[in-house]
Amino acid sequence: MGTLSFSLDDKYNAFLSHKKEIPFGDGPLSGIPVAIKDNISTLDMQTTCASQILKGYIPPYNAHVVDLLLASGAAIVGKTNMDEFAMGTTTETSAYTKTLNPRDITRVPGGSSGGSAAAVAGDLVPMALGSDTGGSIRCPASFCGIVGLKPSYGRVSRYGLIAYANSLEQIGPMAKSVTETAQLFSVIAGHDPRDASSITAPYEGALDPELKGKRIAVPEEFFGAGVHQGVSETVKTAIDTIASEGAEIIPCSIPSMRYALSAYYVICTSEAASNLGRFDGARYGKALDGKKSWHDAYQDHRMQYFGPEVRRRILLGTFSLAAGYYGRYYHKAQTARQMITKEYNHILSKADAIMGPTMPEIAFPFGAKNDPLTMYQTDILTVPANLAGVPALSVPCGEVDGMPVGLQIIGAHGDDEMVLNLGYGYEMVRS
Amino acid sequence: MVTKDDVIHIAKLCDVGINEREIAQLTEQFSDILEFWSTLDELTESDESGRISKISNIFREDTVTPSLSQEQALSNTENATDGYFKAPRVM
Repeated sequence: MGTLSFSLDDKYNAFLSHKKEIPFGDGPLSGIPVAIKDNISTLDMQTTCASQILKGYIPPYNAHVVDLLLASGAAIVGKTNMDEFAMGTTTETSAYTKTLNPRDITRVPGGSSGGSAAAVAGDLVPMALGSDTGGSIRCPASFCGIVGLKPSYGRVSRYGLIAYANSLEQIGPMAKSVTETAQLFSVIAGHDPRDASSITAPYEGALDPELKGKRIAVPEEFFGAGVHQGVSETVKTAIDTIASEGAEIIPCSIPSMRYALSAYYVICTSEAASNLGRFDGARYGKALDGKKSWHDAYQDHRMQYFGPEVRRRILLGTFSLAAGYYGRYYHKAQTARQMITKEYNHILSKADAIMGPTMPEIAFPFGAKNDPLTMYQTDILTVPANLAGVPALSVPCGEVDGMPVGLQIIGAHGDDEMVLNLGYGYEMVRS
Repeated sequence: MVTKDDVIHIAKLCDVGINEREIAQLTEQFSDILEFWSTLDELTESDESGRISKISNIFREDTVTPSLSQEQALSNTENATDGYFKAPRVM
């Protein structure tokens, strides 16, 4: 029990809001400062999803993970910047501020959990929560040189996570080491009846670094066209290191990867188009102009307070769900999702994990990718794990041009233990 | 190929509002994105493999649990009247 005095020199613009004096209780995380992504509801702390439309919104309840953190004694110090409604790969779509990559302030921190990653990488907090819909924990972890876990779908309650694409997203831990990541995961994992997709699978937190005898599948698609050569070589060296510890490397192929990005963007935008209908200005956030008629007021409100990427995704999702297009896009995307899941499950029934790069490149300079499709394509290696619902970890494994590279470790659904153990084992032998 | 009329129609369906400059830009972007999505055209019904989620039939007892008070529910609106949310006229 005590009170944490948190003085913040936020030179990377990682936070959107923070507290100075934070009372905390006893427990496994007693007194440890933890930062929370701003799409996770915090009672009495503004929660904006980095959007103008939620400016001033103070949730009347805590997300389940926030209640668990408080019960573990953690000191929740503040809310971190992100892409608006978690829609982005660089945190550049935030309506409020530009988060800098602590490793090189001319480069993006990755996204959408860029504020959480920068807060950890910049030594402002030892651990943070992010959310991952198509790579939003792993991408910034990779770009900023920290560890991030997207848990198995259902292992962490989404109650109080402001929804973007429900069938894909999970809240997950971010920290500098696998040990701290596992420690934070052990607090937030477990069943919550308020999330119908929640499974009963708490995490015990005991890490085992054994690499000998582990079977590692390495799909050729993770090293194909579009993957930066330096990134490829760095990750292959890391996998060689794991092999030299006695792991068996199994080359493989995941042909359905060619559909992954299209399927992901059809599904996430469709779910977003539905989810974001609730931001109507009547109940929370910026208030609607009551003098206009409903459609005029609603349209003008959403045009004024949603940013361009959010509006683009609502439009795309509406398109893929619209009469005449549903069969061609949404239905086909679900078929692709089934294929991808089947192929991942098949490989993971014969191997302990799949390994490859987290991102096809290192963190790029601000403004480098202005075209939406070019930006979407950087998610190619992270979206399959969300489509298949399987756990995936990013662990730093070297540098290219002085910037960190992430090794991605993907496991079978429910076996977050395996990906954390392999990440821990690699961390032990990493030069 | 996406036309300007498609974009205007979709914008109306989802009530996000749209201006002339955006219509031109989005028409071009959506044409590129939909061309990219056309890889999905290769898939047929025979590629479907049925349900993949291991979770099914999540039931719970229909018990009353505490929920937000009226004050809490109204705490974030600027348009509350007599304990209700006030919305613009629909008709």
